Amino acid sequence: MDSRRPDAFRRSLRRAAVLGVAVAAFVTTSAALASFTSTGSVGATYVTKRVFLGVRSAWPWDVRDASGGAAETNSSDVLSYTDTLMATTKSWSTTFATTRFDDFDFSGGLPAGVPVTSATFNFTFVPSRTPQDNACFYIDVRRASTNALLGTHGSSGTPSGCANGAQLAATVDVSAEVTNTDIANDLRIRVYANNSTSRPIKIELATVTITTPYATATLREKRWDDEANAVAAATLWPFPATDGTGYTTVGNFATTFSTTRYVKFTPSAAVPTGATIANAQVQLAYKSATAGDQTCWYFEVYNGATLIGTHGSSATPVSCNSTTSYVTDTVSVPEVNTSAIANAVVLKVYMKNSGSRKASFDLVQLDVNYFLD
Amino acid sequence: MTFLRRVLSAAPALAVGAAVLAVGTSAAPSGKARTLWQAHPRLVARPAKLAAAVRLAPGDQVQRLVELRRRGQGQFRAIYFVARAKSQSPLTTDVQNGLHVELRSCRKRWAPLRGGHAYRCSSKPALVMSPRPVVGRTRLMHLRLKGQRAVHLRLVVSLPARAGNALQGKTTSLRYSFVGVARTR
Repeated sequence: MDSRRPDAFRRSLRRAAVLGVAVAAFVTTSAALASFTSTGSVGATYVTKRVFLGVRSAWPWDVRDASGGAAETNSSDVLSYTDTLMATTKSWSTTFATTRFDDFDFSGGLPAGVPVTSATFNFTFVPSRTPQDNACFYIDVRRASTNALLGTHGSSGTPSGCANGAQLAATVDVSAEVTNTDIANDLRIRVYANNSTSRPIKIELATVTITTPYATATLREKRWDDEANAVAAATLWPFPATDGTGYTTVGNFATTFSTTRYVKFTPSAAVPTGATIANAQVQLAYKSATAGDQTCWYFEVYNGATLIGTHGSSATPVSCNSTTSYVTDTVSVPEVNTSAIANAVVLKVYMKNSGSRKASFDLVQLDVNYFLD
Repeated sequence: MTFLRRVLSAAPALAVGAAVLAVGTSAAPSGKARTLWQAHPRLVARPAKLAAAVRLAPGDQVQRLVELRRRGQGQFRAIYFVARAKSQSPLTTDVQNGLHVELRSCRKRWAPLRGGHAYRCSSKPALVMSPRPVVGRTRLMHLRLKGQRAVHLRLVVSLPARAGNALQGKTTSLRYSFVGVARTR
């Protein structure tokens, strides 16, 4: 008994020693084998352009019509400028109602995918009868394509602003909803309003100011749906699309071209400073206002007040249209080659009409293909 | 006799232990045992930093040259190309539209083409790594690291033409690692 106990102890000790050595060797070997790698490293940085190459379009909201050969008539959009020209809505009720609103769908034309640093809805209005009446408003921010609600500013209990007997120039910060240019290019502002005597309001200005890291742009309405009386009544601004909604000149053209008979369009471009313009073009859709007439056109391109290009001439028009349908011409304008020029372009369109009558425009569009490094 | 039996009975265990220890010790890299460390190959990539590529647009390619050398003794069983982004960017997380990378090797130095933004190989270049999303790990093929001679690699990073506006104005910093796994002896 006494002699067997030490033997068992020694055997256990021996086994433990062997196991310990084996484990230690395994761990050491594994660690050694695992570290049999060597790494050579290289660093690299990649930066993409701030705005990729792409065509962005601009349309005119400032239109001066001298078709009759006399002084220019200001045919600009009454909702887009603070110029005393106002749009009168239908009649509101004394209390807010979700069925009584005005929708403003805004122009696109901004490069997609750019973050927006600030967005402001500019709304200037006055009750139709002053100083007796008061009117208030609040707004929804929505997607134009889907009417999806993005956010609400103000409420029936706490309006965004009130015009008490006088004009109110209100601004509403909509930066929380308009976070990028994809939304800005598909924007609807819904204005809910009331009037203390159930009368209309007169709208001086309904625009959105968008600031990105690269440019500041003014979005102007291309569709105004006045549902103040809870009944839809949409008005399209004619120039941003070939949709059959046209603008007919206020006066008659002559049978020959004249430098005093023209319509002047100022597209509302917002090309970032420093952008590289690959090319630019003008698209214009026109026809005679009266069937059977032929209308011809050519145009000049101005950088502000400075003539920088002429396309066609009185002897060789860009085209003539004898049909009753709109014809769209696309004309390259290589003289529009800097952001400064693109943002100050004025198109002066000269026309003649075989019946000494009016002409109509549908699409008037400046396309600028640019990128920003 | 008892003492002799005790010694003999412990001998096999000690022998095994000693042998395993010997293997482990010889294999282990040690800062002190400089000669032992140099017995294993090391991979060196140059330059440590590539020139930054800016103003990338969809469809653009950026070519950069990297020289890979083996130092020390021994061979590599495999070499992997590992790319990691230092921070999140759609340029690296968007595997469809984001940056892609490709590696080719040339027996001689790559020759710059006019403008210096692209390089050509005087012989037929070998495709070392097919185009893939930039971040990831790939075992390199046809990489001949013989002796101390450099392997001349051309790293092509491209932004697919389909890349959308979501990738405008983005920046990413990457760490490319060439990881050599040594052949054990």
